[in-house]
Amino acid sequence: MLLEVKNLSKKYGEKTVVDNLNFEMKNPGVYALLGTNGAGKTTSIRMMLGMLAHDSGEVLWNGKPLDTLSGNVGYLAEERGLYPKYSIMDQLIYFASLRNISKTDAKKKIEYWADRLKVNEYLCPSANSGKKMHAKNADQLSKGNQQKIQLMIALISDPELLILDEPLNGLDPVNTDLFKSIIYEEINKDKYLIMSSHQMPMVEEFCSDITILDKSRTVLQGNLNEIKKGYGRIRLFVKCETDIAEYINETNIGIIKNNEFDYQLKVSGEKQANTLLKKLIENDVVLIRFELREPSLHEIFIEKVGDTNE
Amino acid sequence: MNKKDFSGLDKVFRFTFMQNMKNKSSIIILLIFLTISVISLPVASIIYDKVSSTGSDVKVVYIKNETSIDISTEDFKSVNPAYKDIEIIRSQADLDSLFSKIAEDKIPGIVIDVVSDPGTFTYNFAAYKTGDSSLSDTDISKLTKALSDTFDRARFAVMGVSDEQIQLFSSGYSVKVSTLEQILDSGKTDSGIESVITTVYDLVLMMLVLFSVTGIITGILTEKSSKVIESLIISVRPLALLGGKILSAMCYTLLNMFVIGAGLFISYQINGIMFGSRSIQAIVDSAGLRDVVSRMDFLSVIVLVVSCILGFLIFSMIAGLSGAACSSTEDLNEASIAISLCLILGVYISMAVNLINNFGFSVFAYLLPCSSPFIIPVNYILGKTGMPVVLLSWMIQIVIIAALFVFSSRVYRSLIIHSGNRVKIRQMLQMLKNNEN
Repeated sequence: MLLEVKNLSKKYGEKTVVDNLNFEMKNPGVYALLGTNGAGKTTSIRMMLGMLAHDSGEVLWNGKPLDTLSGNVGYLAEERGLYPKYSIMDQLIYFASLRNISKTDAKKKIEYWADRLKVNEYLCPSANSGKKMHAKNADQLSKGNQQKIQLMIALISDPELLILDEPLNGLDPVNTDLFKSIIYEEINKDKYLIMSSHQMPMVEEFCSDITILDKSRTVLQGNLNEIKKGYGRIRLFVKCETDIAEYINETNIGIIKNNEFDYQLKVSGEKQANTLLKKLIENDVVLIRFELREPSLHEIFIEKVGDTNE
Repeated sequence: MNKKDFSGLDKVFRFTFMQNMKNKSSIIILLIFLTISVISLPVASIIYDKVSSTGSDVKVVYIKNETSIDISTEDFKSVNPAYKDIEIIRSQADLDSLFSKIAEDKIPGIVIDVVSDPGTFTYNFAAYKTGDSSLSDTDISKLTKALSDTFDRARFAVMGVSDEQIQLFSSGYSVKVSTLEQILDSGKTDSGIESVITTVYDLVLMMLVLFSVTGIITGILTEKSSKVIESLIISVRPLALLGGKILSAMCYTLLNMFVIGAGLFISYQINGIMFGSRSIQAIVDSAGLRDVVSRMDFLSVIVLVVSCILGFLIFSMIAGLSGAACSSTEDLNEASIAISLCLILGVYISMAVNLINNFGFSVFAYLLPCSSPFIIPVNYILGKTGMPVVLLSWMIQIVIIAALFVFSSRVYRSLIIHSGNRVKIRQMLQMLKNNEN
């Protein structure tokens, strides 16, 4: 399997909303599309799925234009939506039928996912005092539970390519973990996932490759580990019980943040960090934390997007 | 546009139709139509019966029969059961003494003087009431008519004429006054009942189409405002989504029509049991519908159904575009305005055809896509237009439907993804130009 996005561009009038987007997924895993609000992530996803016409470029799945009707693609949209007044069971069966899944198979899959996502009580309410109970309507569910139903819709056809637009938005910590575990399951099944998110720790947790978009343009792209390696270990976190600003200045290290002797520093490399450590030890500074590491995705993101926004 | 554009249409149709049928308001509307149609004929019969069998205030009738033909009391009373309590007194006394008798008895009564004129071979019925009588002229007139009818039957019976022959002699005829221009214009003259039929048909059709197109617009706006559309269109093409909704709405409309038809059939059966089949004929006759009913044949039904379907498709596709151009349910009114205006315009033009009776205007109405579904079937059945005009009108409608279809196929995808202000026609044309699909 191979997903290729080549030279994808889109303009609304004179405004370019996606400018020459290129990336490819050669292996199963998670690819992250990152960017500020309005950077063009959702528009890119919509173009990839064929919802929006693109001005130029192409999206290939195994060398052929991606067709969501014939290809098995799952999609969790950023703007969640269900028919508010229809039964969620009816809706799930409908979406399954649109993916050419028979009613019997759909019911089995719904049962599995309802159990997995802990929404059985809304889909198959138990009989109460002999009265037949019906599945709830979507507007009777909380936002989080509606999101679970949406994820069920995306997963019901067991898609090869799964596109998740801000999948964890608005979820409580318990359901966030539930969603994460399901995403892990899909990764372990060798699925191709494309994820758009603002939650950098989550992207770092799942994604192997990223593209950062800013104002329609790609500002950073590649394998996350390689990108981080490229930056080197330049983030130094120091926590102590006394003011060490004097020693920091002496070693020409830049202070990014200082919160009551909890310092976040930018060093040129390991040598500069060691110089500071030596100085602190010589002066009997009590250290609580001294950590040198690569920049986080969050920091890289801020740096890249901040750079272009300046 | 290819076959794939309609992939999933059947599933969209099934889901939309089933959800529509689960909707309480849809069920209530069906039940209302069924109830109205089931009770319609018995109610009409009761009203007709009541009107035709209203009793008379006259208690006594003095008949001064100066002819040799006898008026049978039994025959007279059988004409209208409401007359069974009227006392018929034959007398040859002079009119003054008969009036004195009525005044003396203080019973509401009249005198009927029946005379023959041998010179002209005619019979005259003259009815008299006293100066202070409270009896209405209409009441006396109806009663006198019943007496003269009884007299006629007796008169023909004497001559050896059978009941059937009498019916043949006395069958009604009507006189219409028209200008030559009117006859050349339409081939037929208009009558009040034709305008009534047009109006009733137009209003029923408009109501059914309005129900359906509102359903289509609401369906599209629900999908847009609830954002479910994004999940949908990766599994089904936008045109299939629109087509499924149109088909569902059309089936619901046909179901309504079927329910009305079935209701009328049940109504006919109930009416037959309650009042006998003659009461329906009497209603049809009294409403002047006999000609219309006699003109109904298989071809008329085809013209009616095809015209309705074509009209329905035009209005539905406009409704689909109109709904997709809006983004939230708050825009429902705005989305409905265009289609409502088209429908109202069509109905008014259709009604105006019978009032104006102008050849040019009629042709315009027959061929205008928004008015032809309202006027073509009725005027075809009434014999006011022929098959060539019907076919030409259908051709125009098919061309319009095809054009709307091509237009939808180019802009519908962009429209249903669009969110924000309502998309104007100018912007749609821009989309078409850019071929955004």
